[in-house]
Formats: sequence, structure tokens, C-alpha cells
Amino acid sequence: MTDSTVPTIEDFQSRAADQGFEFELARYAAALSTHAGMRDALLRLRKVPLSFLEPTEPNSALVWIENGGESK
Amino acid sequence: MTATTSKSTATAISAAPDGLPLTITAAAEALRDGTFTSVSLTQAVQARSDTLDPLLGTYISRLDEAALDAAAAADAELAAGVDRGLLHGIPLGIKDIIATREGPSTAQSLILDPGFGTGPDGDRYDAVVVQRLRAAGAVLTGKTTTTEYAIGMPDESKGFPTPHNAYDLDFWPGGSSSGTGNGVASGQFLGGLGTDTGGSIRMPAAWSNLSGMKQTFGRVPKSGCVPLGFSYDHIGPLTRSARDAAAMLAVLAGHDESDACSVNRPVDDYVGALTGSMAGLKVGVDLSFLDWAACDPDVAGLTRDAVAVFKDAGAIVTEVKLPLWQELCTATMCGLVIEGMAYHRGDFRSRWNDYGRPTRLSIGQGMFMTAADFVQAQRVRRVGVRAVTELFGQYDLLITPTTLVPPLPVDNLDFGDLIASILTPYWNATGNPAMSIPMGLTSGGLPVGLQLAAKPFDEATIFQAADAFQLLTDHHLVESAAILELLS
Repeated sequence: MTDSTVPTIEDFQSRAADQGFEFELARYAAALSTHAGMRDALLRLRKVPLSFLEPTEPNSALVWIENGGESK
Repeated sequence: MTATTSKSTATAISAAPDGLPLTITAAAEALRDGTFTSVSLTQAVQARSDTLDPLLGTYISRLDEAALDAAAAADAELAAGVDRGLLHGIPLGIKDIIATREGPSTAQSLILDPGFGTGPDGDRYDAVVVQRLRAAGAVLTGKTTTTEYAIGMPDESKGFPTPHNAYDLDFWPGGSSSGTGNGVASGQFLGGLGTDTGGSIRMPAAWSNLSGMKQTFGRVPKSGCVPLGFSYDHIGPLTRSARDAAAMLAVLAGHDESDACSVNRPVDDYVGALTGSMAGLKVGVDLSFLDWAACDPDVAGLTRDAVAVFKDAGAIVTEVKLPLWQELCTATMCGLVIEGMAYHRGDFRSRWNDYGRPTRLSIGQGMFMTAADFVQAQRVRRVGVRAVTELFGQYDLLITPTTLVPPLPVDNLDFGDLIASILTPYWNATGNPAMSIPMGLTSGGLPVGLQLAAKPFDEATIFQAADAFQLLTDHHLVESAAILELLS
């Protein structure tokens, strides 16, 4: 996975506003810097291939999950 | 391996002028042979605190009067032949995110409702674990420092004490159970409660030369403890010896319906499991961490020394690679900040500036992760549990260092550096029991630890191996030269 979705300060402003927060610009920069430090680990977590997780996943999800989360 | 002075765990005595017992086990013996009463023991640890607490930042609040009352009651009972077991009359510290009836808990934060720990009748109550310690006759000496809400790092700007390492005051004792760690390490009490969401018992155990157990998720009820990450939190013991930790967990463990996560199954005889032998135990050791660039050479060397002790003692040691290491550690760190954000969102909105910066930066990250990230973290945990369970089909114990580095300088802490240095969050993702035990001091005189993990609810095997290791090494009885000098 290429990291083409690195959030921007504007993204963070939008997400924070959605939850009722508004900060000065420096705080978003600090948050983005912290996020950047764990970005690689987060991407690695996102791309873990997962098998069927009985019983929490519906049967209909099995093929989709076995295809690595993609419709093929 | 560097040999240390051999001391019997049962008769371990401090080299300080007060001659305090170093362990709960030794203190219990002293209470019964008349060397100490609980009152004289409690007065002695309080005298240590008069000198050390202002330097080490151990306590948020001391409960001196209540402790002496409890000690007098313990003495009366013991004199009357009522013996509640190893913890009877023993001074213990309680992390200040756990409710006690004597006064408010702060979670080391300006935010926490001062009414936390107050029942509908207006009276303060004890957390379930505190009730159990009291019922066992323990003497509670006070509420110990943490990091705000048990996450992040010290923040002097909010007016709470900054904890310092008992082995070198220029360093941090580890966190978030910092005050319990440096308090036991400096003999201000003989054991204590910490909590562990990503390593907050095991990190201060490693960096304060202690034995710290994060038992199986659900083994100890958490009611009356301020939550951080609901599905990752544990309350557990920090002590000098594994034997002491076994004695404490024997009191703490067991079902309580007030905690929905509490598991209703029998508690093993942890102290009875201490056979003194680890012969025949199948031990998997992941040494790949020692090749990481971030791994301190002394940590690597002491880990190899510790593994050699296991081999020499008859354990069957095999090198393994723990599955999904990075992914499970990330699942813990992502999950706990999202769960923390859910808890703190309202206060973040209304009192942002009352939170410490490290708390805002860590829990605040939960604001910027997605629901899909959270679900993925939970799914990875399930996959990880299966992978680890399969590995435990071949092994009784899995071993790594607890941290990659010795304690960090207290004046230059960085949250990213801290997270990168600990090998503990993995076991919070899976819920397996994991313990840190001392494995020696670095060339700079700083303690580091060895982490032992086992199958769910098999704490007894961890205690068995840890106790056998401590009968052979005595690393856990090495006192801080800095503390001895301060007390001389």
C-alpha cells in the first residue's frame, strides 16, 4: 500500500471540528507530527491479511475477507 | 553473568541502617518472629518516606494515620493468633487511579471528578482490589504517583510530583505506575498496586528492579479503577520478588460481578506453585529483538545471561519468533487511544487546557483514527490470539526482554522514544499473562527486566519459573546505592 492518504492539517481540522473541537494551528501541527511517528505502524496494521473470524464475522464476508479485502 | 551477593529470599534484609526487610516474605517472617511489629515496620517505612518521597516523587497523598491504625489492628490480631496470611500487617502502596475510602483519587489529573470513588450514599468506597487487600490485613500507606490517567509522561506544569528512578534520580522509574515502582524499590512500602494498559506495570518493574505481573485479562476485577483503555486495562502487583507477587495476586485474583470483564473461574495456588525448579519447562525465547538497532548492548547481554540461567536450570529453551509482533503492539496503542478518546471526549471539549500536553498528544490521537482502524485493531487481536495460542501449544513460556533500553532520563522524555523502547503492549492485545523480573543492572547501574508470558490463566507457571530464576540470581535483591547513601 502506498501512503497516498497522509492526512493534512486541513484533514485534522475537519475531523476535529466534526467532534466539536477547534484548536490553534500549532496544535494541529503537533498532532500531525505525532501521527506521522506512528503512521507506518498504522499502515502495517491496516494491511494485515485476515482470515474468516468465526463467529464474529457474517458468512457472507468470508470470500471477501479471503480475497484480502478486495472484490475480485 | 555477573554474580551478586547471595541472599536467601526469605531473610532478605536491607543494608540501610533501619535494617528493613526487603521483601513481603521476609517482612512476614519478621512480624512472626518478633523482629518487627506491623506498627514498627510501618513507622520505619514512613521514616524512609520523610527522607525519600520529596526526592523521588512517590506519593500523591500519604495515609500515615490510617496506616498506623491498620498496623495496630494487624498487630492485635496476630498477637491474638488471627493470621490472615502473608500480607497481614504489610505496608503497601496504591496507585492513585484506584479508589480508596480514605480520600479522593486524582489519576494525577486536574480533570478527574473529585467525586470518583464516592457511592450513592456519599461515602467513599474502596475498589474491589483494595477491599481484598484490606481483608488480607494489608496496611495501605498512601496513593502513589502515575502519569495523567495512566498514559503519557510526567508533566510538571500541572502541579503533581515528578517521579524519579530509585537507582539514579536523574532517570525516570518508568510508568505509568511510577510511584508504586520507585516506592517499592526504595523501601517506602514492600509491595503495591499498579495498572497496565500497554506496559505500565512491567515497564516500571523493569526499570525499578522489581517483579511486576500483568495477569490474564479478566483475572483481577477492575471496579473502582479509573479506566484508560477498557479492553486493555489490568490491575496487578509490583514487588521485589516473584514470590511476593504470587502472594499478592493470590489475594487480588477472583471473580467479582461488579466488573463485566471479570472471569468466573477458580484461582490457582500461586504460592504453592513455587517449586523452586524450572527443569523441563518448555521455553520459547525471541532473541530477534537483540538485533534491533534500538536495542541497548547491555540489555542484549543481560538477556543472553538470563536465558543461560534458564538453560542451566534445566528448562528446554528454543528460539522462536513471536507472530504479528508489530501489528499487535500497534493494535494495543491504536485501540487504547481510541478507547481513551471515547472516555475523555467530553472533558477534552470543555477543559482541554487542564489536561497535560503528553495526555493531549497521546489520547488526542484517537480523534484522528477511523472507526475502521479500531475494528481492524480488534480483528488483528483475534488473529493474534489464535497465532499465539498455536505457539503456546509447543511452549510453557515465551520470553523477551521487557524493554530495549535502560531507564530514560527524566528531564528529556519523548513519547515516541518511550513507545519505541517497550516490548510490552503485545501481551495487552492478546490478554495473556506477562511478568517482568529483574535481570541485572547495566554498566551504568540501571535496572532492566526480562519478560515472561504464558497461556491464559497460567500465571502459576510464570511465578514458578520467575521464583526459580530468583533463587539462582538475586538480581531482585540488589538495592540502590543511591538510596542507601541517602539513608546512611
